[in-house]
Amino acid sequence: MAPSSAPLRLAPTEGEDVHPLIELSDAEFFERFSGFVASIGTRLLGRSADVDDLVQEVFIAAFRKRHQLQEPNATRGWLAVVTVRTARRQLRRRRLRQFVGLDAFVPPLELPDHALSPDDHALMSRVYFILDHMSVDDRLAWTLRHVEGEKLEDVALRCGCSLATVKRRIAAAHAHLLAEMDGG
Amino acid sequence: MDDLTHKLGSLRHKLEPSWGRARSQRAFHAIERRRRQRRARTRAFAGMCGLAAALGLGLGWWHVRTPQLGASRVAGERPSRLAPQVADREPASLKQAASPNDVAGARAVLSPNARAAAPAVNAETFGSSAPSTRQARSRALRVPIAGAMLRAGQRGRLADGSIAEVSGEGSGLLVQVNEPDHVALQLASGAARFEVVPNPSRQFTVMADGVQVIVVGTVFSVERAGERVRVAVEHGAVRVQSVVGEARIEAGEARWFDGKKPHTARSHEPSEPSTVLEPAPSEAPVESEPAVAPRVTRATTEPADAEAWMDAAEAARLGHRPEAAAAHLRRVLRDHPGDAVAPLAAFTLGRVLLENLGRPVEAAEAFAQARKLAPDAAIAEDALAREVEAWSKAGRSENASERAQQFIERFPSSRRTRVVKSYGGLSLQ
Repeated sequence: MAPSSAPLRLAPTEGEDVHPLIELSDAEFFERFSGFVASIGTRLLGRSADVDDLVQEVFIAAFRKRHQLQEPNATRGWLAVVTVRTARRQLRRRRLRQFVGLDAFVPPLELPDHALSPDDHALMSRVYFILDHMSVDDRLAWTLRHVEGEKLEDVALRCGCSLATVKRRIAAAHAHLLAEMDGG
Repeated sequence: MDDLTHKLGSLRHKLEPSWGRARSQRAFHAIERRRRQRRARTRAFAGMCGLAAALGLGLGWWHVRTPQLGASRVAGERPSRLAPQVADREPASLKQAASPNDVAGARAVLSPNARAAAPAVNAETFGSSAPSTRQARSRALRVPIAGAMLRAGQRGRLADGSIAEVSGEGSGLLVQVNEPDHVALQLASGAARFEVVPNPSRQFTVMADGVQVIVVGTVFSVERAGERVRVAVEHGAVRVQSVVGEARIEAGEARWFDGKKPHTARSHEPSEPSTVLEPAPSEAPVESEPAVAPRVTRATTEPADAEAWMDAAEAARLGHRPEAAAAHLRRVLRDHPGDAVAPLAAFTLGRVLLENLGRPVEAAEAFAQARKLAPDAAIAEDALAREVEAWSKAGRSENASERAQQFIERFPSSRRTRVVKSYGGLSLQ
């Protein structure tokens, strides 16, 4: 059988006669990208217990719209935006629970045992404790920039605000963090 | 960078969840369960709405038909724009009942959809270079979602009512975010024109090769040519952020950016149509060549984990290098057979071998490996179905038939049954 000369692509283009076995199923899509979403979610939320919920909400939204994606290499960026939005909602609910006293016990950052040394684990736990008591928008911008290592333009895109706003939020979060770390 | 951010940078790669196969499968099953529940709730809600609508229609019909209450209404009369004339013709009896003017007034309050459409009508009349209303209506407007790509000749209506039009062969406009309060677009290549609805509370940006155009409400064009970006404004004004700083471009101006420094149009620029607006002739053209942006060198170190090899394989696939993609996927299976992505690597290898390299026997073996690595996962169904196809295309009818029989026994209610039977040479009845 002669090799196909068709370009490699994940999703069929408009008007193409689609063979049902070629398109990526929900299971394949989930297997391909769930780890990516879980990784971002862990670093944004700081709690493994909340990551399962976040992954489910992200993919429930993603399954509804992903068949309209025409550029496979835009998938990660799009999923990242959806993940940040979902994380924002979860963090706001968490802040509300904290406010009314329903979130008094904060479970520690759960990672595989060999991941962090005790000192590093204590540092990250302290950082996330301070982040939990910060504005959600400031926290997300700071986490995307300094934990995820995203460029400022991408942080602005994920957060849905201008570059100037993102810089202001990151600066405010960073100053607050340093002040708390020094005082703590 | 202070010590804290430096430390975080070094710890980032360790902040990974333990997202193994079991946890992934549990999450997927939970998603399926929630979707089923949501579909059931939606059906129940739709049923209740249908019932309420039927009840409302029935009551309305009864109300109209009852003589003592419906005497002032003309049978079959519909509230319309003619309401004032109707009121004039029958002033007394009509004013006693609910006036069609009230209904007409209520209809004048635009629904959100109509409100979104209204600015688009205004946008079509912007400036002398805008297409006529008849021409605009003759080309259907797409409604892209985030992640969609608009190609040359396509027009898209964005969530805030603005319109993006892509022109020039090979042009591509990626819609990164498309919400009523936030629109983010990326001009991947070529040129595009935008008619943006004024809305100071909405964020509207266009990114092109590191140059960001921030818009409030205007008509403007962005064009990529090589390593430079041209921004031309027909109405209103835009702010452009590049690496060097920020610039404001007013109506009637056009400016080139190379992503490093802004510069004015030069005398040896490609000739422009007369309708395109340029800076005032009194500005001296800059003759020197723009600084060449340093090329980003590819990383030469090999990926360290399965996920990174999967990324490399995908990049090779998208770059039309199936041999390289297959090699990367085999690397995942050889070095990380127990990783959560291994079944997907095997499946993807099967697809590359079957669809792009024309090696169906190897493809069938890869699909079989995918099933073996994840026998209970959702991917097992897809893998078995593709294995049937691969054996069939390899001319191994006995293998294809046997696998097809296995598929039907294991997945009797699958939507792929018909195709699998066809490839397996089984009866379709």
